[in-house]
Parts: sequence; structure tokens; C-alpha cells
Amino acid sequence: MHILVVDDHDFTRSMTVRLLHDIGQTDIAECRDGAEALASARAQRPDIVLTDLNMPGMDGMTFIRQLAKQKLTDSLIILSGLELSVLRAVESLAVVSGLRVLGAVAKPFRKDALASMLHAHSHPLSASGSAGDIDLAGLERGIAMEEFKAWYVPILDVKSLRTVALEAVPRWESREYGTLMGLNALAPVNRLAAAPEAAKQVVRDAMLGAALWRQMGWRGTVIVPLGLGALRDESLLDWIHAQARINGISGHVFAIALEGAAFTEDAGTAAFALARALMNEFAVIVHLRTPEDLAAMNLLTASSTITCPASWVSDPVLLHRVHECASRTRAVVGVTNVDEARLFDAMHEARIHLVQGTAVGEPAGAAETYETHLRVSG
Amino acid sequence: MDPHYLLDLTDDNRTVTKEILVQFVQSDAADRAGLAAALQAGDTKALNMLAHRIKGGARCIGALEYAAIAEDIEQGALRGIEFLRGDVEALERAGAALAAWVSRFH
Repeated sequence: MHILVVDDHDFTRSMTVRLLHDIGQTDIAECRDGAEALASARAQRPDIVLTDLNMPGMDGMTFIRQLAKQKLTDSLIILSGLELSVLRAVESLAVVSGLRVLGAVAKPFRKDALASMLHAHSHPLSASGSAGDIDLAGLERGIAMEEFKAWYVPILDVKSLRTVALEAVPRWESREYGTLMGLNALAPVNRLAAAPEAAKQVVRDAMLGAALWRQMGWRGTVIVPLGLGALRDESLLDWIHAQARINGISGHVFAIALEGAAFTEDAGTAAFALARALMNEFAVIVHLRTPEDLAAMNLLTASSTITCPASWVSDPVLLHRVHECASRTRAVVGVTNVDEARLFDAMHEARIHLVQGTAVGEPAGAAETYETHLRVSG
Repeated sequence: MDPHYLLDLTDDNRTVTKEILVQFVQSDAADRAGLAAALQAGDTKALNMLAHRIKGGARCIGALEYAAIAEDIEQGALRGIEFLRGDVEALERAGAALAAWVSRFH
């Protein structure tokens, strides 16, 4: 794995390289600034770029934009002690530009945090819940310290391109490991007894946001995904209902997302959660990721929205089955991971009403950035 | 200064820890000299940038109190030079104390 480290400060850069060596990485290039780093990246195409944001000359954000524009790497790790809100904005920029952000690490760096992020690069599709390099005791400490927060993915109406919903995806803003994201970092949470508590932290964060944006005049829905580990606490949905009442939020403003795979893995828990959510008047979104998930949808009797990967739109058999399921459950159909506005006509013809982007970040920023990105790319 | 963060990082290897600390002291002395010059010149942009570097370097070795003084200067530089003289002197004293501590570390 070829890694490029970009930091203008010789000492901190040498410390980063030392840590990478310590965790077994040997193919490492170093650069002092963005311009030098772009030249190196063009010549060597690094698998991962680790970059500081605060650099003289070309600043970190411009460097990241250029990296993405020239398609010089796939993955990025941000080395910075900057405010989380800034890091979120940078992540949003990077993801919209097509880069995968493995995480952000603050100084002092930890070997295990860096190792986890490199592991996430090597195993991008693993959703097995394997603990990998994540220290489960560390996860439990993170939950105890209330470090689980909501970040947001915009969901757009196909016709108007307006953001109609924001899905609050969980992020672990760890004091020990930095900000961790993605299934590799978070799937182990579902195996912990404390998983419902982590989910509650994300729900609380998202509800505060939903109440605030409501006051500011935004009329969209905030969606919180719940994993099986959290749903095994049968009182969780009643707790969410009570919290919604406290925050003056109705079920139309707040929705629950379930993974289709949950119906295969533990149909009883998933069906109970679905029924409980609908009884509490929450909208329910079911995300289908694989054809196997579709098979389990025979169990689904009601839903508000069903989403499938955008690639299914070009597969008439899969798309027909999605529509069949949607018709039975009276659900609206959406697709995930769409980054190009020009695809929206095809979506419309395929009777897709919603698209979910891949932008992540502060709610207003994520939605705005994503809409702008679509207008430009379309 | 608590050496445990670095010792943990180097698997309790005191020779490597010392080597890192010496590198830090050399780098930090250069940054502090730059900081003093920037203060003299009234260059708030350079003060902000150098204080940010000192903070980053200090955090890398786990010198968090020292990093906090640098952070005060980094933030203060955005407000104006008149607030900074005392902080830069405090950083100079803390940096010298840290360098003395490193020279005693074995």
C-alpha cells in the first residue's frame, strides 16, 4: 500500500511517518506542501493520502479538491487538530468530490486509530460486524463518554432536486481514535450490550437538529438508522417516541431506517421494530443493499420508503421486484449513492421518487453542498 | 511533562523516546525563535502559523499543557498583537523548561 503524508512541519510529519512504520507500513512518501504533494501523487498514485489542513501556500482544502479533481487517490485521512465543524465541512467536500474519507485524527496520534483507518481502506465492503482492529473496550468508553453523534446524508426529491430529508448516519467522534466512520468502524457497536445507548446518543443529536431546523423553517424529515444491536432493546422505539414528544417532533418529521439485511438476520426483531415504529407513527425506511435482502421483503407488510442501490435501476428484474414490494407496502421508492444529476431523468422514468446522496457533514452544509454538486455535475 | 504517551508509543523504548524528544526540542527551538521574530515584526499571520506548528509538535509528544499555551497565542494572534507579549514570554519559559526536562530524560 503506497501512502503519501503531507505536512509542512518536519517534526510532526516525521512523527506520522514513524507511526506508520510502527504499524507495518513501509511504502511511504513525504511532502511538505500541497503543490509538492500533487506532483508526487501524479507520479506515484498513492492508495491513501494523509494530509494536514493548515499549510502555507496551497491550503489543505484546495489540495483535497485538486486530489479529487485529478483522481490521484481513493482515500484520505485528515491530520488535524481543527474544530470538528471544520473537519465535517472538509469531509463533506471530500466525499462530494469522490474521495473516501477514512477518518480524521487529532494530535497526539494513536497507532490504533491510524491502524483502524488503514484497515478500513483495505476492507471497504466488510459489513460483517467483525471487530477488526477496533478495541471493544475503547468503543465502550466512547459510548460512556457520549461520543456518538449524527452526521447527515441528504435525500433529494427526483423532480425538484430539493432536499426533502436528511439521514443521520452515526459517527464516533472519539477522543482516543479521532472521528471514525463507515461500517468497519461502527459495525462492532452492534455487538455490544451498550449498542442501544450509542443509538440513543445519535437519536438525541438528530432530534435536537430536527427541532432546530423546524424552527428555522425547513420542512424535511430527519431519518435515524437503527441497527439490530440497538433494536434488540425492545424499549428503544418507545424511548424515541417519548423523546420526540419532549422535543415537539411528530412522526412525520422523524423517521426510522432499517437495513433489509436485518429481516434476514433476525426477522423477529426487525418485524417487531417495524411494527413498533409504525405504531408510534414514525415513517419507516427500509434500505435494500443486496438481492438477498429483497428475498426477505416478503415479511414486509408496510413501509414508507424502500431504497435500493442505483445500479438496480438498470436491472429490470430487480427493479420490478422492488416496485412489487413497494406496491404491496405502499412505499415510495428511492435509490442510494447517486452523485450525478443527469441520472435523474432515468430515475424518473424508472418510477424512482427519491435519491440518496453520499455527501456527509453538517446538515445545512451537506444538503447545500450536495445540491450545488448535482447542479454542477448535471 | 508526562512521558507516558511517548513511552506507550515507543513500546517503552527509552532510547527511541529520547531521540524523538531531542528532535522535538530542536524543531521547537527553531519555531520559538521564529515566533519571537514574528512578535518583534508585528506579523500576526506568522504568529498564528508558528503557534499552530508549535501546538501541533507539542501535541505529538503529549506535551499538552505546553500545547495549550501555544494555542492561546494561535487564537490571540487573530485578535491582535497587543494581547500576545505575555503569552509568548510564557511559552518561551515553558519551552526552555521542557528542553531542560528533555536533557535530563534517560
